[in-house]
Amino acid sequence: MLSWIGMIIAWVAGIVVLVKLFQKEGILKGILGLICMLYTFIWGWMNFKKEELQLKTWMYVWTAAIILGIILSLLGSGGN
Amino acid sequence: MRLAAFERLVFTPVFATLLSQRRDGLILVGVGAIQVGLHLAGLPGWQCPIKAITGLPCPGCGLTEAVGDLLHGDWRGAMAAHAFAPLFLLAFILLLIVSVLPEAARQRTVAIIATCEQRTGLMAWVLFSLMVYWGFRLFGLV
Repeated sequence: MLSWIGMIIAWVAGIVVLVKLFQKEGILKGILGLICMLYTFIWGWMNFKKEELQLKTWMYVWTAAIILGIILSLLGSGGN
Repeated sequence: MRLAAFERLVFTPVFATLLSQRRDGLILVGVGAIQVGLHLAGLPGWQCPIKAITGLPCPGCGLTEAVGDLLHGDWRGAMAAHAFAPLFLLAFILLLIVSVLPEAARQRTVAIIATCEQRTGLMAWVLFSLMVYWGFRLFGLV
């Protein structure tokens, strides 16, 4: 259950950052971000200080959800 | 008017802009190497949020596994996992090489790649092809 909540939070945060990537960098880099969400994640951290993008909260949430997911999968419990 | 917008979209350098910042290039290469390394070590790494939630692969799903297969010399496995893996591996190698070049040589190389992209639209065609390939994968055609 916990891992599912984490995944949904990570998904929502990822999509929000991806939309901002499309808006800021254009279609081609947006597609690159869609192909490789890891690129979107890195781009989010590289630009999270830019106030106009308002990425800070989303990046903190996304990162926390990913760390939670990794911990849960390392524990092998899946949060259930 | 629309044709001009399409041309602007296709012939805008994308890869060159990734290469233009040394720090960004090194971060991308480093994170990519960690991801592939974790996969090869059998450890959990980056999980695609799209696949985790929807169960459907994103356009890049399978790339880590495919690059891992390529590094092991398993071309067949790599092609089965993701047909664009050789291109991505090549791009990462290029990113690494350009990121560690001396500044003058780095800028010359970036300028050459930018010109190449502006003339051919190569990166745009690769990305669009990848989206088509994704469509084929979603419908189980490849």
